[in-house]
Amino acid sequence: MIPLSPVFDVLLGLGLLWLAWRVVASRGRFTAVVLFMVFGLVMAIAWARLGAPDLALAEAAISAGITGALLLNACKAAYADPGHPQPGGPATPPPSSARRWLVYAICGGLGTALAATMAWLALGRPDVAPELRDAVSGHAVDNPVTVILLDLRGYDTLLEMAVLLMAFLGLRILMGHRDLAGLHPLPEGVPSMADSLVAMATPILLITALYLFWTGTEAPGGAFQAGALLGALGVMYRLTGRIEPLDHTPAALRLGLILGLGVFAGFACLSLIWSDWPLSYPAMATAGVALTIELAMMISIAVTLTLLFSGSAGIRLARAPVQGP
Amino acid sequence: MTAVVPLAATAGLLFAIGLYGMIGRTGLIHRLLGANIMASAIFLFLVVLSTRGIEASADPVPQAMVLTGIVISVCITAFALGLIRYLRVMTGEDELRRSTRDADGQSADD
Repeated sequence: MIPLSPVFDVLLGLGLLWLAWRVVASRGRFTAVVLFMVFGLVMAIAWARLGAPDLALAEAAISAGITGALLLNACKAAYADPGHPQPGGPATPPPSSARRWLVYAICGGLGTALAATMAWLALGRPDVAPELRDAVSGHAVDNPVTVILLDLRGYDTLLEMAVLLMAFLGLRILMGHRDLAGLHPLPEGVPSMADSLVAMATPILLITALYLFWTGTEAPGGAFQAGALLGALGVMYRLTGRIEPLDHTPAALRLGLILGLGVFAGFACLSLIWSDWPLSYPAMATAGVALTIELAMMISIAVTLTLLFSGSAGIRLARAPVQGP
Repeated sequence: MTAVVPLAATAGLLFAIGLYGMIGRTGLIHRLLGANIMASAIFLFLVVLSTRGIEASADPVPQAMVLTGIVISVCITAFALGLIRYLRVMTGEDELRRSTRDADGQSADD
């Protein structure tokens, strides 16, 4: 294994670079998007190789899955839009030669300098601070990444939930101006395979998501990965017509959207009762409180990702699921 | 661990490729993909920094930051796609003109 691994790493790096180059250099949008999804999957392999399974799970579910679905949908909407230049020949004027070489020079020079600096920095990584090591190893939650996310750097995660909400609100404002949902055409007939596939995938995805959520306190997994999987389930339901778009946001969805941020912020206020600092955990019930916050975050992440994909103000379960032809 | 040097160098080059997508292409989807590749490059570099050999446990702080970053980048992508679609509804294009002066004076060759 030892003599093979440098070869594998170099090949992995070269593969990433080649895919990234194909993404930015390809002519068509569709090609670029599909290559980007492959890029996300190869990146997940790189992270698993670097010993970060939490990230590999999240990258595979979010970058390759949900981002890919979002991008593909945007491409489809572009093609379906009448009065728009058709695919194949997007009328990109070739930039002047001098400008092109300037861009190449900037990117090439920067890339070389960054690659050298980053490799040098990576060789001289400082050790993990002993205080951090003690704080993580003595924590009631066993998974170090979850400890950082929920406790030691709780502010980051709290504000991240705010960013999720902002993204949806921003989209909601855009949709208030124009009917973007109309640009989101569903296929006329859902392929007959899709229905039974979704039916089979539903319990598997639900169990996997709940497992990832539950195991997140002690093993790789957690609210982000579980929420992303549930969001992927929502995307599948939306694509097969089991979830319908609405032009308003029902109360239950509003609650789901703010649940993660609300529970986290409420906990921050409450923690002032037993501590001088917001977001500090009660010594008795650390694991229980962490699990509650994670549950709320998982629900919010799943609801927000589904709504961001749906591109509509709200969604509801279709009364009669679409049957195959 | 041997993985760090090739993958750290890859991160630097990936950032430059993403930057090329941002400034060298005019299509907005390509620019968005370039921005996503730049983000991935930074994530990769942070993960490389978090590794500590096979037996030692990894530094969890960069990993948690990357996990946060992944979710934020999907939000930004979703919002940017919303903006791109909005632009298409408003103008029928999905490229940005270089400047308003170009758009006024030289719309014929754009």
